[in-house]
Amino acid sequence: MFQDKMTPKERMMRLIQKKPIDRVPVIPFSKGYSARIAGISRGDFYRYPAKAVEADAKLRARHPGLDGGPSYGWADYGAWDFGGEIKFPFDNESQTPQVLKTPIQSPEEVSQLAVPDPRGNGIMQLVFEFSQIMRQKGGRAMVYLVSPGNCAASIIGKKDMLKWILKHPGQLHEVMRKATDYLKATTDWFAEEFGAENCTVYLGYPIESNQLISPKHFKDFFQPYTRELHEHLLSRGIKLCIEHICGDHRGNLEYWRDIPIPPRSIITIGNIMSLRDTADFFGEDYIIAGNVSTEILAAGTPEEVKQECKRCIDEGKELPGGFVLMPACNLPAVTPQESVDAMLEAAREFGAY
Amino acid sequence: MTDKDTLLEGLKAAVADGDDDRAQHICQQAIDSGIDPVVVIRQGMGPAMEQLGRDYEAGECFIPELLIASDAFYAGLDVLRPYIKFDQAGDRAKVVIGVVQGDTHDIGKNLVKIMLEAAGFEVYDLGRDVPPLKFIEKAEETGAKIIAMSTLMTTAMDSMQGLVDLLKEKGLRDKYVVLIGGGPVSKKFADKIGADDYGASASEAVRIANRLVL
Repeated sequence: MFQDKMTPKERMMRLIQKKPIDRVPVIPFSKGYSARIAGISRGDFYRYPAKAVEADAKLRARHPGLDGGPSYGWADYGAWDFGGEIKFPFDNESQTPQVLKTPIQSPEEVSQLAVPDPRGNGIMQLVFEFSQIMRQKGGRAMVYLVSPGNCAASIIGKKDMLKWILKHPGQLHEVMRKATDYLKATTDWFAEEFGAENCTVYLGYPIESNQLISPKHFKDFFQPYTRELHEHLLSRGIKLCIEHICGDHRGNLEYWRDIPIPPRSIITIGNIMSLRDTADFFGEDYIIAGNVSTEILAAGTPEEVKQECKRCIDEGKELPGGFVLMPACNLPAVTPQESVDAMLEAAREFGAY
Repeated sequence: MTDKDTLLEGLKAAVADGDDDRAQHICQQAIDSGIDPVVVIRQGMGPAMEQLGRDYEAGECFIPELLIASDAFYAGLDVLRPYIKFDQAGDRAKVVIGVVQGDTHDIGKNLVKIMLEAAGFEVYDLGRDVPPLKFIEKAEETGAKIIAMSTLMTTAMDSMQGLVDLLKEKGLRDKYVVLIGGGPVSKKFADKIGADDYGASASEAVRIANRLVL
């Protein structure tokens, strides 16, 4: 039976440096599951960054050998920060914090929407506190953000934002402008406080999936701001990103060519996309992570999970830029603990180098 | 082409374009011309939505187009509704639909709802973040044959199992057809939790609903 020869920290460090490692790393992408393992509510997890970090420590104690840093944040950023209202799920009544009221209700209100200062504001303050704890523990500042498109969707409301693509394109561009400026100001704050070299920026792209929007919508409305944000990250000296290309982005990929992602960043994909094709597209400067079916993790037997992980490892292990075994999206809170054990077992059994 | 055909074709185009005002205007013209409102739905607006559903499955249209077409459909329906007599609508199969507890993503659910309505089902929409018991209570109250639930979040999938288990607990499992849908679920997941079927898209959900209740 394979025994780990590196600590998770060594393994990830060497992977990023493109040096040989002992086995395929496993990043759990766990938030709600971590809260469950730690015996706290999802409201506590999201509202109190210190509890999220503690929950992550309990997760790793339960499943020794998991790689990567703790996960935090959620997809619906923007509403709270721009003056709307959200609710934390202290009774586990929802999986992540929910928007109760968006900051704007109509296209006419867009011109009045002010870009707030991220310092001390809304979610960004929580992410900042999370990063402070991480730095105190000797880790990296994890800048958990969302894409400009998701920030705009949270400000407008997802459904309305999708309609505005066709009905109010001018106002949508205006909100995208403000969302991008807010995200840029946030990265400035973190870079100043922690040093850009110590920051890892996470960005998620669920709303840009081709299950929702067309490649043309992506090109016209989302790609320009995503590119601008990345150009800003690079100019500020950010050297590592985790890009969660959620869902199906196959039709959008050609427009990612002009988005400057720092080399050795991690591109994580869902199980609709192919690990190999995605790696071929991004090239050997990037680490590809994925794409274990969350459905199998949540509902499959340990053997089914192992076989699903083997599929990913067979496809990903020898990718030239490197590979991480990771769920296709957030690890479902209901996932049996045996499924996470099976992921690690698969990495050791099939993923040894 | 008769005047009626011209109106219905125009209505299809208005719905497909997501033009609320034009859809309402043509619906009013149809009523004024004495066209049966049920015909307007079944031969005008319904086929427009069904075509968009097929286009979505084929990757030829996307959610923004479906959403604005849905708005036009409902705008037209608002004009027609006062003229629809219940006995005229026939004995329509009833569906209780909602997004499961723990999730508030309702775009997919709304599209399934509108496709079901366009196909002639009577739909009771419980909205989002719906507890399992509420689905059952509504189905019992309305005499629905189908309970349809959706989620987009991997994290809320257990609520679907919760509903099936609750039906069994109450001895009601065989009384209802249980359909599931949404990004993270599948036919295999439906089988695992004991649901009757899974629809990968709004159009497929309607085909399955038709098959299961007819």
